Amino acid sequence: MTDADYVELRCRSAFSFLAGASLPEDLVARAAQLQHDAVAIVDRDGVYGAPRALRAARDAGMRALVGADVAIAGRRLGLLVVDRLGYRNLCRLVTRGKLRAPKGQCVLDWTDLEEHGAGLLALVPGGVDNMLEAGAGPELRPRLDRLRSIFDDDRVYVEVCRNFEPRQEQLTRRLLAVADAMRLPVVATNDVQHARPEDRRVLDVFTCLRLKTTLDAAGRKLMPNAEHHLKSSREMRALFRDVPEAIRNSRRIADRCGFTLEDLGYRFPSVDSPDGMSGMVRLRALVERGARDRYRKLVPRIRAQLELELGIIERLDLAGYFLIVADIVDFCRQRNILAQGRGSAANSAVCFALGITAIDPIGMEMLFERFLSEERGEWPDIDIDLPSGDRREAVIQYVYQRYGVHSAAMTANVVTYRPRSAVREVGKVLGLGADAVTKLASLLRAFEFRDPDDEVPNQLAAAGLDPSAPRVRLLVELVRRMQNLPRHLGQHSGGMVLAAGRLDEIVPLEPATMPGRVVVQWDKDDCADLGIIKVDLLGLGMMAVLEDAIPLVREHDGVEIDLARIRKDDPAVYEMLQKADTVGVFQVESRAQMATLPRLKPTCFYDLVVEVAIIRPGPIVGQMVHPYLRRRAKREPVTYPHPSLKPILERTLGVPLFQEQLLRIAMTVAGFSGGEAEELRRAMGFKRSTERMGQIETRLRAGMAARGIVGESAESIVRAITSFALYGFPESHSASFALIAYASAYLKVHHPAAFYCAILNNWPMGFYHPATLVKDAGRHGVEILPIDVMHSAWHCTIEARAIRLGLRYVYGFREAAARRIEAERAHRPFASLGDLIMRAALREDERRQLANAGACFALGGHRRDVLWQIAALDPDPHTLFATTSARRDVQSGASSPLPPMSPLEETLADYASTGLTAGPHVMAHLRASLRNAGVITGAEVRQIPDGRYVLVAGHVIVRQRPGTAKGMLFLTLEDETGTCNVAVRPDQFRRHRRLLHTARMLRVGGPLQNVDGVIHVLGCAFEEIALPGAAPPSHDFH
Amino acid sequence: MPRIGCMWVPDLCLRAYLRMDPESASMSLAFSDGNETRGVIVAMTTLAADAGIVVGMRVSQARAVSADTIIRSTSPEVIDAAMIALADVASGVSARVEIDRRGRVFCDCEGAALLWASEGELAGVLAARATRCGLPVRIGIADSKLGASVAARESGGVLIVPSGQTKDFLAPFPVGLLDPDSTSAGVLASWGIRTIGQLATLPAGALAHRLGLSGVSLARRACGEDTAPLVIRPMPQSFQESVELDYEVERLEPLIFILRRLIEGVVTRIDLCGLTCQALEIRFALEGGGFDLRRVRAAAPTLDVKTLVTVVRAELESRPPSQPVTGIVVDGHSMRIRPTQLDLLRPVGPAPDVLASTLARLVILCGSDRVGVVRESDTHRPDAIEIGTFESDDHPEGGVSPPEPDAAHTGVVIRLALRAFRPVIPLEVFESRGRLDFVRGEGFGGRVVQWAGPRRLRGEWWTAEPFAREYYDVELSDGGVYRIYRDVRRQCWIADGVYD
Repeated sequence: MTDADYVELRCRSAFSFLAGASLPEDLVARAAQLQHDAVAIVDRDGVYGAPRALRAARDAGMRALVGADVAIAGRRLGLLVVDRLGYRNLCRLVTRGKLRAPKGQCVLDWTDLEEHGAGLLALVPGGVDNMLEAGAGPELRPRLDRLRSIFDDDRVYVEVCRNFEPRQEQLTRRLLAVADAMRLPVVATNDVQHARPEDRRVLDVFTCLRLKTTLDAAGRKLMPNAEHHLKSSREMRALFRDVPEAIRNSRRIADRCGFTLEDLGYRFPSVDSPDGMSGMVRLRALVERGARDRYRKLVPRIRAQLELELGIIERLDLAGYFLIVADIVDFCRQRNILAQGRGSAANSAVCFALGITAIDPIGMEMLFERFLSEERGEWPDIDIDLPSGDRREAVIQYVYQRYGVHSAAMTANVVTYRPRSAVREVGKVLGLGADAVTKLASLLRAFEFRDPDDEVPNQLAAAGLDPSAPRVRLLVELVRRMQNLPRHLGQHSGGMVLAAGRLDEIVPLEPATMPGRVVVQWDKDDCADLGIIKVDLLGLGMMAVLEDAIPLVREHDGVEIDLARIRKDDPAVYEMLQKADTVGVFQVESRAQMATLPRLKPTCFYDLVVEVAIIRPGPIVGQMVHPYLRRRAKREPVTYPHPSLKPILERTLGVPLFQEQLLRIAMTVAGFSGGEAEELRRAMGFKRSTERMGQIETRLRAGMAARGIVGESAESIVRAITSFALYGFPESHSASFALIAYASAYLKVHHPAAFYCAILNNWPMGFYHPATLVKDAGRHGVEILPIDVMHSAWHCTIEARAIRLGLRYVYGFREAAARRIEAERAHRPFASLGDLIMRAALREDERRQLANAGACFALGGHRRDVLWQIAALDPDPHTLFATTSARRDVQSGASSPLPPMSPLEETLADYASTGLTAGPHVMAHLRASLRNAGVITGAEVRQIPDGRYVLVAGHVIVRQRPGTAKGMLFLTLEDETGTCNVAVRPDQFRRHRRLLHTARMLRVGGPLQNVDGVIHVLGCAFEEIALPGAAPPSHDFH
Repeated sequence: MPRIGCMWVPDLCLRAYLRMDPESASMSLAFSDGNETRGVIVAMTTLAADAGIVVGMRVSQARAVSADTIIRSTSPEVIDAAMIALADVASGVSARVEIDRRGRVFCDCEGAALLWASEGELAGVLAARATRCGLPVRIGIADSKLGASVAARESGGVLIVPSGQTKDFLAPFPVGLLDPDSTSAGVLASWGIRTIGQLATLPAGALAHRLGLSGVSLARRACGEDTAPLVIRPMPQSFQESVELDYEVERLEPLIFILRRLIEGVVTRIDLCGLTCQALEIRFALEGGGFDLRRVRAAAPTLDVKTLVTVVRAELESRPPSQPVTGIVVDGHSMRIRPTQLDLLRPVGPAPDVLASTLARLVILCGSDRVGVVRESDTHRPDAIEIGTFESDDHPEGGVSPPEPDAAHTGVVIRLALRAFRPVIPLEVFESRGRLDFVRGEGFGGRVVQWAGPRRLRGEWWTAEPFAREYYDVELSDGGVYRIYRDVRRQCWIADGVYD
């Protein structure tokens, strides 16, 4: 026998979720180290870890056998896949068990196994725990008989294990005797649950988490030893020297199980039309038609680009994929659902022609290779932005319906242990004090456990734990070991996979938490690795706003807007952008964006593309922002690292801002092909591999040297690429976002009522609270009408160019009640409070909420009168006494012994009951006293020259302390005239920390800074403005 | 007209804590309402207040404001202990005492004039006794519980509301002091009713129509007509005293010193209630975050602090805490004192107190692991046993009983019995080419005729004493069959027992 005679056929990975302690990659790596040439990953109720095992096995030059450990009629059974039929059966078996059971469980019976046993090989478990679970008593023989009837004699093996456990040898001998008596073959396994002996500790922790106990209390529920690790063939032969056939059979089984996931048999859904037209011919036709529609005239340059792309698509056999995505977009178009491709797809003229994207890549000189290249041989990745909410769900359901529930599913999202979650769980298991564990977990935002002797002790000490205490040391060790181990399976936000035929024969499906959804057992990377095509259908709040605004504009302004055809050079839009009047505008409404707009002064669409991309970690960390802005203001000459880069960087004034520029730089200075350049970008990406980066950098330098670029020029290019690639924003993506940003800005300028109404109806979204949005609307001439049961619908509506606030903003009010109000009012206006309450069947709390919000003014006078009246009504409007009671109320009139609210109380009551007010801003009530104290308004600040000391005051609507700002705190104060930005230096922040952390209304004094129209008060003196009630909250970034 | 006294402790959670650990007063210390992630600060020391911490701040904000301030969750145990101590003080002057969860203790002061010169003098006595218990209180006396509690809150020390003037006294105070339920509170706030006086002006009938029974109650209480009777506190069954140490106690003597104080406190309170101490449950918080729970009981219920301390000392001497101690909670379990009825047919047993002391001394002499009842531990370590508490009952708990016959295998079961060597016997084991060859130990030895094993047992890796052993059953040429093991950590061989 050689060292490779034994094959481990039962490895449970961490994808058995709390029943295995090592990643599939680690198990495969360890098996390779022990000179095995194959290993089987047999996880509980699924093949979650199989793609990772395949990847690792491929790298290690060995085979990863596929299997799963399932429970048949409550007894565990190992199933190994012999061939593709077996794999299909296993997937269908697991899918069936999963879909009929509650989430996280798998329920199967003998009938299921009988239906799907073909192509599989059964291993009757032999470990002590498995046997106790599987049953080793008198029921064993009938069970084996039944298995034999399903799998025939040569596909049922009795597993024997020798893990040096008490009682195990007795059980093993009994199994051997039974197998011998029934003439069933035996096979040795080590019932592997962790790769190395030392991983047993994590397994013990997982056992405790699974059983919800602590290590101290777990007792014999834990493993008795650390012998369930991978062992060499020599060790296993020695263990089974008295049963050599058990070892030989492991090899025989491995040889029989020829299936690997490379033989998945996945096919993309067929798109050939019934008339026999192939997918490629159809695609060409669609592209031709779409291109003519988009470009009007197909000049040679456009034709050449389209031909280039179609050629690549044909050679990569991707026509079907593009047709399916086009079909989804077409569905959206038919249903009037806005859809726009984003990301690298915007680099493709074919996508533009098919209507998948809205950016003309030829006009904008985009780089197609960023999207697709023959060298990479990968599926393209197309993300489609859809209006969030029901409309996105409608598209997802269309895909299910179009391709069948068994052919479409969401991709999984594997949630792994991160430092905080691991600390919490390990701390619990170790019995550490809950207080200390919670505190430690809260301190761990950037806790990466890189160096336990340096960084971690400080964190531990801060949490009140002694780093030298043994259990604390264990905590650190275990948390480190648990990093990246899977914790549970979630659902990806929008990734859908499709297959020709049954997807549940390609990968097992599971129910998602959301009703009507199923998810595959693999995440998007695993799917991509195995060539399974994914389409991302992502929800975007602003898409919903645009979609909602268009009919409002049509109805109230009499204008038909086609977002695809609006002019991109509207001076009014750019004038608004230059003034940073961008509250509510997609992507450019943040404080930082607003502080950049007056300096960048966008005058064309490409400027907006730059604006969207520039306030990002890449340009900020790479210190590209200020050079760009200086060059734009002509305060600094435009230079290039090398003359050859001028054509690439000219549009961004010599400063690299986009990923595509990085790719082009590599192609120009080092002769990289498009595919190589994209490989470079990925190598520098988030999952950096030092080795891979080193190789590519060497190639980059060699390429530059061959073109005579050496010395400082070469160094600066390498530096730009390496620092920028990590965070750089793709130009195509930025252009797609800029399109939405422009559309939203256009609506804000020309149709503000529709724009604000749509935003208010789609909130929560964006950067600002509705309280700020309605005040901004007011400043743009849009009257805001208060909530009124005689006029308001559930959503906000437009009444003669004014916005009527909807009942959705009344806290605690149900949509069903609002719909009843709408319906009853349409039938006949409400005559009194009693009439309203009876006909709309309002609950007691809902009546109070309406009254608090001042929504019943038309029926009952001021709020407290209404409150007084409705409190006297019978809680159940349908009782016999309700009518009497209501009549008495109406007859009694609106008078009450309660004092009416003051104007300030009215405003605060608005905030308290709806979060916003249609009345005066809260600061307007305080203006007189503020004026006496020398406080100026947000509007007046703009007239004050630079350097003068000013006093400002307002409601804090933004509170931000970005990591890139060296400890500066930024506040945005809002008053009845507008907003004012305040910057607080770190020393001032430390001095006034509590106030600046908590105050919702602030008075701030300090010198004014007005640089290029960007105005800040440099805060030095702070005082909280007390109110008799609560102001709406601020948008805080701690 | 009833007269009710109210004792109120401002910043109760802080005061209750300082009562146990007075030295903490000089620290920057704040208390949250128990929820560590979204908790709210409810009290703090002066130093913490100086650092900018205020009541109502979230824990995350407090940490941001003052990273040096220690933030602790309020401990219901500590607060309960303080309240009970306060109730004990009140019991010294009144038979009818009510304790509530808001740091208030009410007592019936009607007729107090018969015992004290004035209500003011009575209040002074209460205040002095509470202060001796480490709880500075404010005291109010009025016609109702509400009036008394508001008077206590507003007093700054002692405030007596003359009989018949409670309504006027209450009028300017916030309506929230009437403790309206959340619905009524919301309604009153929405009506703009802020003071008790404003509420008192509303028509009582209209109020009742709108707020139901709650409205009736509020209206009456706003007029000073609080007729709710005192809710007499039930007799407690367990008495807790605790202390959190800001330093680690490593030695036994200082630990016993602290324990004695806590036990005295517990026993005194048990005694005041006319009960006796049945057992003590002591929970030691250990350095590093773990805890050590001990249950000690005298052989019979007792109020003798010395006996209890002796038992505790014995327990700790034989099995000291594995880590330095950072906090202690002593829970005294009480029972009624029952007269003993002697059995005519049995010999007279020892007096319970004497038996307890004797057992305690035995524990000191022999160690706690050798006195009591043997039980099997829930661990993979085969020789792990626990010593349970010796009970003086006729049927000792956890006693070893003969094995039940196995119904499924009656008549054919051959059970090997292992006679364990205690103490275990060190061995010399000679191996040859990986096989056990010869074994030599004190009193036995011989060539290995047959052997089975190993059975590898490794565990308790998270403790200070993990085990790693390889067990073998060996038949020696002397005819005996032994269970031996190799202690992998200590690299030695041990004879564990012999099969009969």
